Amino acid sequence: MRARAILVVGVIALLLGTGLVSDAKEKLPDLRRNLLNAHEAKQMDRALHALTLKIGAPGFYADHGAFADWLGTLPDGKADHPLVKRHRGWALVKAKRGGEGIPHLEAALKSNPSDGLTRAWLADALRQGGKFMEAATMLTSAVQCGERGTYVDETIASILFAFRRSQISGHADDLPEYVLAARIYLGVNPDPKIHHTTARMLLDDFAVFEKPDRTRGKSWARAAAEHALLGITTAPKLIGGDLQLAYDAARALEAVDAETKGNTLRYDLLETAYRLGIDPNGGPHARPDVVVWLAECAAREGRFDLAYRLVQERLSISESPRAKRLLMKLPPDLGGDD
Amino acid sequence: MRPLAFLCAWLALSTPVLAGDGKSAPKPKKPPRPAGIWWEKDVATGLQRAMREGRPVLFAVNALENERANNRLASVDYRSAAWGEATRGYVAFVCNPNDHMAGGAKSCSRYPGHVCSGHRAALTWFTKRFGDNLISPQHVILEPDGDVAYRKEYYTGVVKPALLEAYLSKLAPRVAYSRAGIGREKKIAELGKRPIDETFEPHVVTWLRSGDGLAAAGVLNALDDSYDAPRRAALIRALRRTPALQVPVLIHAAEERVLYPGDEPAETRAWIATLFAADRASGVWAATRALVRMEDASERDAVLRLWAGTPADAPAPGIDDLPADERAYAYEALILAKDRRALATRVPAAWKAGRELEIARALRQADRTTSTPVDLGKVLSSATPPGTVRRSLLAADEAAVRKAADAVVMKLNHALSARVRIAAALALLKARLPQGGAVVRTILTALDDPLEGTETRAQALRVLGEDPGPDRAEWTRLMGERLKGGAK
Repeated sequence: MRARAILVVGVIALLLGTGLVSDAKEKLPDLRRNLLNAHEAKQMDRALHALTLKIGAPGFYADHGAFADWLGTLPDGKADHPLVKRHRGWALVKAKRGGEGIPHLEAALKSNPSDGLTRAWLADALRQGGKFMEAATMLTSAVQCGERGTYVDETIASILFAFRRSQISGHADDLPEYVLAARIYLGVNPDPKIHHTTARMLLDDFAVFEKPDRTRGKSWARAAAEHALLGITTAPKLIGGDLQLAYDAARALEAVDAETKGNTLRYDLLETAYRLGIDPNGGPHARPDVVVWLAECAAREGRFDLAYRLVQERLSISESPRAKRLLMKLPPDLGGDD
Repeated sequence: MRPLAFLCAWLALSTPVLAGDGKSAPKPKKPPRPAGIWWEKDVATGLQRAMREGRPVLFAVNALENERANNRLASVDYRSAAWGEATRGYVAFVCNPNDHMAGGAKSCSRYPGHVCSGHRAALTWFTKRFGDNLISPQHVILEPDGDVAYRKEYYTGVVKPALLEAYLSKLAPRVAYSRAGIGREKKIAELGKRPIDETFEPHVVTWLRSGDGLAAAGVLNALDDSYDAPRRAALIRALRRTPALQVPVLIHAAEERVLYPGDEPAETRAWIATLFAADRASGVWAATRALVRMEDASERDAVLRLWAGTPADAPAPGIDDLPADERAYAYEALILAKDRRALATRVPAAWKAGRELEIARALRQADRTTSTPVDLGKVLSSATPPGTVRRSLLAADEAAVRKAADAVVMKLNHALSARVRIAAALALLKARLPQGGAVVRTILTALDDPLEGTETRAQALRVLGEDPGPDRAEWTRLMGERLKGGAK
């Protein structure tokens, strides 16, 4: 056991010695020379990687932008090599000059269309260049190529936030475009966090811009409700604020259509909010207003026993005129010892 | 002993901590709470408290400081004992955008005992809910669950302690009852001692109609303190003159009598008569509850007489003798009570025997009367939510489910709705269409569901025809057997 531990420590030391330490000793001219002399893709990639590790180090490139600019000056057609283009595009994205990086990353992709990471960088570059719908589509293609992880998660969220900021949602004819962009992405990666984010943004816009009686309001409320429900039910309690999200989405649906009986979506949202608010220790429900609202919906659907149980649950917490009003409308045989 | 040493010794013996008697030093006394309104400091906490404790919420918008009415409310009314007492049952917020705690003051100078961050946050919450275009002063009363119960812009003198107390009676009857027990103690005691003569009821009615928002709650306190039948009967009779806003207090008090009419039949009838007089809808509520639970037909006759407003010695009224818009309620109650009058009522021939209750319920929900010719299909479809998959699935017979199998199987995998999935699983169980264990899994999970469990169990038992008991393995076996049997 002890011998194995010593071996592991030895291997780590060896790796550090051959990799990081030797890199640390190499000067910029040596690293540049390595890149210029590299002909095979593998050598080139290694040389480029070694250079990227030096960005920001004393005596090397001041930042990613400087590195990208230097790559553009490489002689002998090296600057046009797809691998150089790829690194240059990446560096421009890191330097927040993604718009400039777009042609380089597009060129890099031509030589390797199945490179998911380059697609993700290009998506980021498109976002920085203000092309949000293309960015969402490109990131979706990156996911289809197998690219996953934090970078993808953060990029799609950034795209959607930026897209929403860039447009006045109230001017959209139907759903705001960031919702359509989200749907493109969600089609291949039904990430509950993105459902959640989309629902929250749409509900906030609904509250600000929308007049409940308009047809568009209905489609916004419905879309928000669907995304909220998908976000919550596929990963309950993964994201904070689930109960409030379900409640707000149900409220939006209620605002545009209070009358429809058997509104499945609204009922499901309230049911979800109800489940999320149950105290596992048997204490009172976290949201008594959700309990009575669900009771009203249950009564509207003709589920009087359930409505009665929920009303009793609400009234066991405290007085509630709303619950009392409903209780008076329920069938007369409910109540007492029956 | 020198004076200083004496002082030290005296201090050591007289101060509990120094003397070591185990008690802590007395805490500095908190300044007494102001006589006026006690403002809530945090909106979220306050609203949560209102919901938890069943208290109404008062929002007082007092945002203008160069306007006479706003200033009068802030400096006189809100600080008065009358407003203070009237709002003790509320969770109260004042809304103002300014800071009045200059120079490191610990309390707001405009609203003593309050902090400015509290009234600023309250204004933010208020504008978010009701919009930026505010009129100040204004008063809004919310129900504990957040619905608007009352809103009055400007200061016209309508919003005053009596109105606040009346809304307390309407929105929080139990709190109103307690507040009346404290604030109307003398009057309540006086009602308990006053002789029962011809002046008694007018005396009680005078109080009820005096504008006192807690009068009905006060009379109920007196009723609960009374044990002699004549006094109780007189008090309940007098309560017929209860102002509309205070009627919910009566419902709270009458509930036990109408849900258990056999305990005190005479008092139950007295309460029903009082409720009919005070508020027609409350009377219907009480009468239907009592009718369903009364075993004696003569008792039901008496309730129907009260309902129809006929004398006690008149023949028992039928459903058609009741006001037209209330007949459906009586019809449903009498069917539930298996009363002959319900069965004797004229109904369209298309109404099949055995479906009376369903029809009566549909009629009540649709606010129809039995004497009005109705399109039965229309009434039932309006009472039955068109989007309710559960009902349509469970109502379908086995052949219908098998015919619609594809649609039902799709619903079994419904991504969003638990109840739709459960309904599909029950339908498939009914039609003996196994789906690789999904049916059994869905139903087993549903049995423990806090919302769907009870109904799922009842539905599944109907389909299985026997009770597998608490053992889940037995449920699995029985359901498996049914599904293995295949479609017949």
